Amino acid sequence: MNFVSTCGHILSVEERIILKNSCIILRDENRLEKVQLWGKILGLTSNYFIVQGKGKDLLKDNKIFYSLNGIDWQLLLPTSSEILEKVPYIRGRFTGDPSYHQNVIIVDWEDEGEDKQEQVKEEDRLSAIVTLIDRDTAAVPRGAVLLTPQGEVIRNRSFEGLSFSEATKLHSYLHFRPTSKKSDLKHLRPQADVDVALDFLEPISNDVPQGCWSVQVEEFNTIVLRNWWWPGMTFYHIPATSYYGQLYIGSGEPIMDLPFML
Amino acid sequence: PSGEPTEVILFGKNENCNIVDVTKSLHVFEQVGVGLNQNEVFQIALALEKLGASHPLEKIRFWGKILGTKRNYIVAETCYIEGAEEEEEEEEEEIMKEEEKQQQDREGKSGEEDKPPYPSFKPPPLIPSEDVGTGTNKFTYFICSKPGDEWIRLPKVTPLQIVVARQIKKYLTGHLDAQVSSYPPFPGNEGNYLRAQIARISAGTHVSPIGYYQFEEDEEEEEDEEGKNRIIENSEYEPISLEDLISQELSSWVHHAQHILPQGRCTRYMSEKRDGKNSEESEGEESEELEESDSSEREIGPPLLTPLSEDVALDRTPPWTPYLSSRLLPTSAVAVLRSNLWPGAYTISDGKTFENVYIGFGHKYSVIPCNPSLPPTPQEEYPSGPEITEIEDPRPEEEEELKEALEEEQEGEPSEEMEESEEENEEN
Repeated sequence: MNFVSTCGHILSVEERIILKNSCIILRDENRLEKVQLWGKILGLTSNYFIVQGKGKDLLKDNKIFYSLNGIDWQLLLPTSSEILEKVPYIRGRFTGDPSYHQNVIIVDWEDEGEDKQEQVKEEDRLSAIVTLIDRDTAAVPRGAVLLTPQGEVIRNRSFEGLSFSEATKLHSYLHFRPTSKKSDLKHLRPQADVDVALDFLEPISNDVPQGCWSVQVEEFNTIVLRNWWWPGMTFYHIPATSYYGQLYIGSGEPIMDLPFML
Repeated sequence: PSGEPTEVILFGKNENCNIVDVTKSLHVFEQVGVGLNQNEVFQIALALEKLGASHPLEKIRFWGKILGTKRNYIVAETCYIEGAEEEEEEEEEEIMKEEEKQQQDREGKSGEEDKPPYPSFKPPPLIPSEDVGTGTNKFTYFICSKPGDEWIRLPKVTPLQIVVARQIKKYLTGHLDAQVSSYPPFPGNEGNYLRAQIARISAGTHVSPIGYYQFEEDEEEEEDEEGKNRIIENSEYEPISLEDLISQELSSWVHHAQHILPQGRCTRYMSEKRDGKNSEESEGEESEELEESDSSEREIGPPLLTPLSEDVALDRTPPWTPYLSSRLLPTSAVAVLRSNLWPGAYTISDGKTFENVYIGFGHKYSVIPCNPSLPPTPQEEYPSGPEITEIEDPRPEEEEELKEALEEEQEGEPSEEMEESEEENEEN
């Protein structure tokens, strides 16, 4: 937590203690390998804490829980494609009430028909937003995870961290998401050190527009990556150690104006 | 952690300088979940000491931090000791002048030979910026990108910069002299944009518990609005209970920074021209603008120390969210006020004192994605008609025929017209 604190949001001592304890309870109750804090979404009246439970396969066995107070956790069901389509039309902040129904006006761009008005439950929106943020910003340093011959994604126990010069370059970080197409990997660097077990993910340096990720060297050589589509997402890695992680603390809204702002 | 002994050795202490203790105030913010890690806080405290030792400042406060894409800005809000700022400015101006002179000397001989034609268009008169110590330029801001770096003073903000900054939304890069490429074009570099945003954030988010400040006593002698711009700490301030501070009505919080008018200034600037003869100057477009400003002349922002309950909500988003820092230990908790219009702006108060801080990206929240305004429509072209359309020149044979025809027509009555037409033909 200390490493991402330069972004301005930190957890208070109280929150830290509550979360630490409730994560352990959550892990044991749900028989997960590991439960880690994913982030905090700031609502108008209250905030959502979100933790991610990981099973054996780091990429597939994911469970996401949310809580308003850090103690009572609810499982966040995987989002459906139907809601994912609606979410970009939702404007405005999260309210902090999971049962709140928000009106969505879906603009029909193609047929010039009438705009439809539908309702989306805030819980569903939360689930969709978490999925979207994960899809866009979840990252790992290259080499930190392995693809086993059985097709499982596991932590690389012999990962020793990136060198400092590698760590300041964006192409040494990979999107931690299932690669959608095989063709996405074609642009892999034509380098001698390409390894099928390591390079099964896309590098984040190909994201559009250029400059939507920024690399900064903070104190004590901590490398901090920020994503500008989702301000509030901070990723850190300490070169030459296996420490890396990321945290999202923000309003849960993408910056749609990014192309104008860089 | 208190670093006083080190500070004294390192920089020497400026006795007159009142530095708000950043370690203490950020420690309180830490309970709230806002702030920076302790290493950085300590470094900032040291950096503020350094600033106090190197400039004649009366008051220094940690304003906040703005995150940029390449580097970040740490912002300190300061007040110069009276008169000292002008001296420093003069020095800087002298240096600038010398540099300009040198440049002119270099360019001198070659530069004056052919000047490009200067357009006759005169821009409408600029609204002058406010004096140091008043309105948007009430404080002077220093920034550095890393604690320990050299502090750089930000220039004064001009009303035009604020007006344009309201219309654009850009990520800061972290380099002060970076270009701000936007539409409408921003007058200045990133330093000016940063300064404009700081002014806007300060005006929008600097709030205090009601009663902490009061108007200056001798204001009655002066005339209405002018006098109400000065506030002092209320010595008879009675602490407000936490319940009042976190109530949703927000009536126990007031703004203590002046509202910025649409003009980009806190106090309305009256153009001197309008007093007497405006007949000559108010021609064409300018007169329209003057009329506009006339109509908005009486537009006065909310007075100082307006309660927050009168703030306007932005499309279902309430402007402020108050809450208590701790659920488990309400006795030692503090009241927190989070701004929803300027994400990243927080105010805390334990009833007795208060503290404002901003740590964020420097953008105002908007529900609707920003639509950059389109460039104005191009000016209308001269209406095309027969008099300006190009036609083919007549061939010599045709000319001859025309001449003969004309001569035949006008044989009886020779007149000037014929001569003219002949002349024209010759020209062709």
